[in-house]
Amino acid sequence: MRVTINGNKHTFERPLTISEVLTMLQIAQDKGVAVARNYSVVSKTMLNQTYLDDGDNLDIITATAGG
Amino acid sequence: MSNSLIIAGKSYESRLLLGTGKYPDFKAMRSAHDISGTQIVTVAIRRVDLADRSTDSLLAHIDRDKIDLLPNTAGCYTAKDAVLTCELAREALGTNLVKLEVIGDEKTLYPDNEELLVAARELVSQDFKVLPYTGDDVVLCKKLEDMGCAAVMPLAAPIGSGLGIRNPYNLRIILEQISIPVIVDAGVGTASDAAVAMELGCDGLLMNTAVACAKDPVKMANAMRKAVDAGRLAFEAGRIERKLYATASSPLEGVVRQ
Repeated sequence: MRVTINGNKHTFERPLTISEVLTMLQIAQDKGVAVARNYSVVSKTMLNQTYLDDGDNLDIITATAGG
Repeated sequence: MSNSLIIAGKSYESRLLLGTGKYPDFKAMRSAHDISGTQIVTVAIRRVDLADRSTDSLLAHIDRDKIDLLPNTAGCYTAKDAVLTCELAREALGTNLVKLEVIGDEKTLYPDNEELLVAARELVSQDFKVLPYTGDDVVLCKKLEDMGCAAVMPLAAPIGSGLGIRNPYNLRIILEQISIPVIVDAGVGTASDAAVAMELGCDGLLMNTAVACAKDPVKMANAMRKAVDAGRLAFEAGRIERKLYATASSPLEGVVRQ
């Protein structure tokens, strides 16, 4: 399964939930992070129930310094 | 209480909103925020850097008991991207307060008014409290007010330019015509610029570069706090009229003459 995450291609050998992907990427899920799958926000409560499909696009964002 | 800034029903004692960008380090940022008395700071929304997970978290350096986050849509050039960014910010940060900016030109960073209106309308319909960064155009500000924005944030000069209040007359017209808070966003260079904006009657002031890029950001944050307070007080006090000729302050009678 090929998934684009934050603009980069990743390949996974089995179907994964978004939660599992976040864990693999060592991203804490409770600290100001949000995820959009194919440009739609996935709520925190749905992250461990949402399986990724081949060709999906994920954006994982956080707050950063800005004006 | 005349000395409070009220945004979307919430009262803030400080009328100074600060950014979190461009500080030498988080320690300086936090000290600047502390001394400024600010209760609202902007943050940008960006993709997590997957290659470098060691980066210190910005949020750990903001005292959220005292300070509300105002996520921005900086870098967005379309309404669609700005709306998605706000939706992500709400999910990540648990706030529906957003600084909406839809940029139309890379060099001036002036807003794209057409896209701004589209995004603002959509976000208001989703119950966001929208604070749009706009040009200093009263017609545009009126449209934003009518569609339900929580404030309007006209620029005083291009973002990061430090040119000061370039068109006080346009701001005066906006202040006369708009009932929601008018917060000058962008262009302030130093304390006197902040005082000028507040003396005009602006409800608040949002700045980043003027503080963060000053030689001493903490000292400048203190100066800005004082300037915003002084400007506001002067506005409330009501300035004298300008006259071409002198008016004596001492009695004209009883002068000792030889």
